[in-house]
Amino acid sequence: MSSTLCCSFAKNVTLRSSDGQTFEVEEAAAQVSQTIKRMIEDGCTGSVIPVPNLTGPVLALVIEYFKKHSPPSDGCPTALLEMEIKDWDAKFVAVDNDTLLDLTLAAHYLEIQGLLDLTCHRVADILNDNSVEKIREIFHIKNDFTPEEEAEERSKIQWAFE
Amino acid sequence: MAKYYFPEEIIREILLRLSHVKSHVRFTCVNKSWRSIIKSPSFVSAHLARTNGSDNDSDRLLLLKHSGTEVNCLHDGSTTAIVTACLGEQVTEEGKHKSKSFVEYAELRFPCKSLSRSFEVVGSCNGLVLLRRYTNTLILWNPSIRKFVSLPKPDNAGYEGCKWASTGWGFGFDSLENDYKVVKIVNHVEIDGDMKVDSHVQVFSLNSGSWKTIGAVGVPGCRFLNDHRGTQAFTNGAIHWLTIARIEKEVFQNIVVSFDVSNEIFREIRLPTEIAYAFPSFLSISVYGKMVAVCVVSASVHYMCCMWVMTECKSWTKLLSFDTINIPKPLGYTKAGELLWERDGGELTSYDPKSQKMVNHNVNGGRWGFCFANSYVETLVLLNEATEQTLQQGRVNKKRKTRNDDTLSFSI
Repeated sequence: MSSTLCCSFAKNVTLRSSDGQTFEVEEAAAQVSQTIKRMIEDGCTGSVIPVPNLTGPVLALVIEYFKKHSPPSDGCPTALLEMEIKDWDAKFVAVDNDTLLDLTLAAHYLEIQGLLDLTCHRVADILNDNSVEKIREIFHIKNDFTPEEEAEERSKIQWAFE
Repeated sequence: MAKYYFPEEIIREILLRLSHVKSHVRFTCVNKSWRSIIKSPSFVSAHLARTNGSDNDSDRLLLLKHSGTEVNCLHDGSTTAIVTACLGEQVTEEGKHKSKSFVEYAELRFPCKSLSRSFEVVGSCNGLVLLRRYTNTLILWNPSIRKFVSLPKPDNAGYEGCKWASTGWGFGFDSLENDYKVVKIVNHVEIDGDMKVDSHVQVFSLNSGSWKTIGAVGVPGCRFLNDHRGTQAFTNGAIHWLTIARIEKEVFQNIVVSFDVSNEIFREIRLPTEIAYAFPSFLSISVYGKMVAVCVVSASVHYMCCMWVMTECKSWTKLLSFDTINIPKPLGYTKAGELLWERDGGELTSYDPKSQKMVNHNVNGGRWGFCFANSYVETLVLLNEATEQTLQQGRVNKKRKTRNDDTLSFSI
């Protein structure tokens, strides 16, 4: 992990995933996560910061997001930069469903509001025109309706399945 | 493969971002947890807030038309009254020419068959439409989730011993109490005597499921302009009616009467001279953006249609005018700010004040014309069964009360 050279003394922190992988990232970038920001403020930066809810591959993706979304060192983001970030975001969440759901959960655990908005929006777009069966498959949801209950529910809203 | 445990709050965040309420309704069948999230009153409110606050480009319209009587249905071959909800959206065509067209078009059936004969649209807000049959049966309908509830009828108070009464109906949303209200005003107006004899005002609250009588302070001695369209407009927390009031002996003026739905206070709003003395049949009221808009049609060589809007400081500004060889029947507005109107032959037309262009939308109101055409939002209001339970409870209480009091029953 290389850090940019614009600031002479960029402080780094180390994050460790649930499967023991460690990642070094600039402290300012990691503070995109409110959870990590609080830990840094509480003085947990001396050693490695554990991120037990995220596996290595997911944490690696989240760190990419941190880097793109860390506050610019030279003041306000320009409109051009904002557009570029928007494009980057769209590509960032164009991933398979399982990865997308992992990122959604990561955004929730690490309190990254921007990423949570982004992933929830993307998930909603995917869900929109899908069937109930497909939704259960995507979310690994167990159907807890009895066949009779489900048939009754569906019969009341038949039009929504057309 | 990962085993997901998705906290309900994330599922909720995702579901809030679905773009069609049809999906919400369908997903109530995913499992019990999803059903309870989607149907919860807090979710319905949060979804409404997002919808009203969102800035998306889609210009959804709700068009309602009378399909006439059963005789006419036989005549023209249709079997039921049809309601059409349409979505107009900007489509970029070749050569960067942008035009509006209906990209999605859904035909809905009326909530109940008995409405196919004669009804009027009292008003619409937050994706709900209040329909009234001439027998005073009230139906509150959410077309986007295809659900409706019958509201209890108000009592007939206010008509006793008067020769001539004018009735105004209104529908609006009380954002302080998160409640929908229906207002019925009965004004005794003696044509040849004094301006006003008496007013009787009843308000129905959906949360309570019942009607109450309120004081009529501030209701002027006026006649409500009752037409099949454009007689009231709800915006900024208040219902606005077009009325004719006698301001002096022999001097009649068109004025707007407003009713603050939260505070239940009436006010009079004067109109600019050009509208104040216009022939009442040529006036209609609607909502443009968030402003009250009054359209007035006048005839000279051609027909002229002018639209005035009321700004925040209660002053009026003429926003558009155009002339046409057809008698324009103004109906409402698109989200993009075009005026929707119906031509003589029933065709839906829009006028864009920016480009000053007319667009014919190839949708016809049929023999009886459109009774409603306006921009519209999809909401989940009424999805929860609580409303039906409240109304049911209200009916039970009323019947019990009626038995005890040994008075007339007004249950529907």
